[in-house]
Amino acid sequence: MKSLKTCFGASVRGAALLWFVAHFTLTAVYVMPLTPAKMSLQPVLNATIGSFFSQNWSLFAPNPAADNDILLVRCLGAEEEAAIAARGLPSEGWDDISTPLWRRLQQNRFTAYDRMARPQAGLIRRYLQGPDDLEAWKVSCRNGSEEACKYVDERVKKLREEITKSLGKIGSAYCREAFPSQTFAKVALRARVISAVPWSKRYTDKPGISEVDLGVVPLDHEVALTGIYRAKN
Amino acid sequence: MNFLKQALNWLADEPRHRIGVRILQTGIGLVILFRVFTEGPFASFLWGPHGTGDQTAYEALFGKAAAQIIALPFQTELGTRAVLAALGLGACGLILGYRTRLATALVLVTFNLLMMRNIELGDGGDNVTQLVLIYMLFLIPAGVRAERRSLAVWLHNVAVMAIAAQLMVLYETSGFLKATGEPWSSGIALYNISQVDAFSLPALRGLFKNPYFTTLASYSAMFFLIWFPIAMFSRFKLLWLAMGISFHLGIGAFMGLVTFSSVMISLELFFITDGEHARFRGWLRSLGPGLLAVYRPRATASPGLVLFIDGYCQYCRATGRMIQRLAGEGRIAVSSFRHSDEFFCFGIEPAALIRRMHVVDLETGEAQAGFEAVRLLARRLPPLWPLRPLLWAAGALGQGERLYDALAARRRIIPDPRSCEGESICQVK
Repeated sequence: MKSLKTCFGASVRGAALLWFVAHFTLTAVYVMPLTPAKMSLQPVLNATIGSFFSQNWSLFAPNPAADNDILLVRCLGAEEEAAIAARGLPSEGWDDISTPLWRRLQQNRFTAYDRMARPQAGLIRRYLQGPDDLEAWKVSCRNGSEEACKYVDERVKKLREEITKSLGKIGSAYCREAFPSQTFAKVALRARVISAVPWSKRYTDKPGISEVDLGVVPLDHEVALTGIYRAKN
Repeated sequence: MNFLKQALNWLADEPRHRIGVRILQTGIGLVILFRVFTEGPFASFLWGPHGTGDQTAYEALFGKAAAQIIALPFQTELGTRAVLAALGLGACGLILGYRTRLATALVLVTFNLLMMRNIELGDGGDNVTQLVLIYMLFLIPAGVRAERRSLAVWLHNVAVMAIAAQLMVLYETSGFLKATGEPWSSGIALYNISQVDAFSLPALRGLFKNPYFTTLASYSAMFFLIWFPIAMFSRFKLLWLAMGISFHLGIGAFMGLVTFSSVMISLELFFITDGEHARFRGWLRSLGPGLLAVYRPRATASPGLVLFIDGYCQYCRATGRMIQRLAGEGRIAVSSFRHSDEFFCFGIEPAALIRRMHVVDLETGEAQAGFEAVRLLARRLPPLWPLRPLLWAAGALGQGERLYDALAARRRIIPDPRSCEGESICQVK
C-alpha cells in the first residue's frame, strides 16, 4: 500500500514538472511573433494555450496607440430618420460621449470611467483596423487571390456588423439617458479620430481630425442605462 | 548534477514564497474588490441581461449549448448581481487569508465569467490575473502548515515557479515586441501615448515633448522589461523589483491604469523570497530606533515657517495638516488666507494666494509660492527628502510650476460663510 502511495506521489510530482516545462515552452512560442516554428505548431497552440491560457502581452507594442478614437452619437427621431435617405445624416447635434469619461478619469484615477470608456475606443479601433488574424489572407489578396479577397471582405463585413450592434447599445443608452423626455427611433454612430501630432511638428502643428460614419441602428429601448450621462432636457 | 539536486530540494523541502503568496493574494483581492465597488453600479449596463455584454466568448470556448448554461446567471439582474457578489466574497477571502483555495476558485470562476461576458473591458492586468488565479489553486492555503517534502509542498512550489515564469514571459514578450517597434526604438513611443486622452494626463504632455525625457522614459521601459528575467537570477533582483514598482506606480498615476499597475506590483512583490523578507525585517528592526530619531522632529515653541493655504479647499486643508504632522509639533504654522488676514504682514497679495500656496521663512522673511514653496518644504522637512530628486527633475525640465498650477487650478473650492467677518478677507473671493 505504501509503495503504491509512493508511486502515485512520484508520478504526480513528475507530471507537475513535465506540465510546467511543456506549458511554458508552448506559452513562449504562443506569445512570440509569427515564425515558421509557430506556424507549424499552430494547431497545438490553439488547442492548448490559445483556448485555456489565452494571453497577449503586446502592451503598447510594437506600435503604441497614438490616436484618440471618440464615439459620436446622434439620436434620431422618426422624422429625421425619414429624411436621411434624401438629405443624408444631419451635420449638427452629434454628441461626443467618450471625451467626458476620459476627463473624469483624468480628474480621479480611482473610478470606473476607464472601463466605461474602454469598449467605445476598443470597438472603434477594431472597426477601423478589421480582424487582427487576417494578415496572411490580406497578403494573398494583394497577390491576386480572389478567394482570399472575398474571405477578407466577408470577415471585415461581419466584424463591422457586430461592432455597430455593440456600439448601438452604448449609443441607445446615451440617447435614453440624455434625452429622457424624447422618443427616438434610431441612433447614428460616428467615429472621430484625432490623430497624434508627429514628433517633428510637436510645437507647431495641431492634431488631425477625421470622421467615419459607423452606421445607423434602431434604438434599443431595453438597454440598461449607465446613470452617468446627465439629462439634456 | 549538484544544481539538479539543489533544484529538486528547492521544490521538495518546504513551501517557498509564503509571504509573497500572501502579498499576491491580498493584492489581487484588493484590485478585484476595487473593481466590484467601482464597476458594481454599472453592472446592469456592463454584464446584465440588457447590457452591452454577450455570450460570444462562451460560445467560442465551450460551444453554443454549454454557453447557454454558462450565461444563465446573466439572464436576470439578480443573477448578474449574485455573480458580482460572489466575486467580492472571494476577494475578501483572499485579502483576509480565509480559506484561500476556495476563495481563489470562487474568484477564478466569477472573474472569468464577467471578463468573458464583456471582453472589451479587459486589459493586460486582467489577463495576467486570469492566468495566475489558475496557478494559485495549487498553492498551500494561507495559515495551513504542510508537511516537509510532501506532495502538497511540491505542487505549491511548482505553482510558485509557474507564477514567476508567467511574469517573466509577460515582461520578456512585452520588452521584445517594444524593441521591434519603430516608435519605441526611435524613442518617441511615450510621446505618442501621452497624446491619447485615455492613457495620459494633459498637464504632463509638455514633459513628453522634451527629447531627453521621452527618449529616456521609452528606453528605460524597454530596458527594464527585456532584462527582467535575467535580473531575477542576479544580484540586481531587488533593484529591478524596486524599479518595477516605481515603473508601475508611474503607469498607475500618469496613465490611469490603476488596476493593471496594482496587479503588476503585487506580482513583483511576490518575487521577494521569505528569506529576503526576514532579512529586511531584521534590518528595519535594527535600524528602527535610530531612523525614527532622525525622522522624528523635535517639538519647538515657535514655528520656523508659515504656510498659507486655501481654507475653502478640503484637499489644501488636509495637505496643511499632513505637513504639520510631518514637520513635528509647532514647527510649521498653517494659516488659511480665507479665514485670517495675517498674510498682509508679509506683503503677500490676496490674488497671489488664490493662485498658489505660499510659504514664509520666519527667520529670513523670504516668501516662496507654488512649486517653489513645495521645494522649500521638501528641503526643510526630512520625511519629504525622498521627493527632492523628483522635484529637482521637474524644476530642471521647467515643468514644476506648470504641473503645480494645473493641480491648483483644479482644486474644489467650497466657500465657508463663517469666514466673511473681516472686511479685507471677504474681498478675496
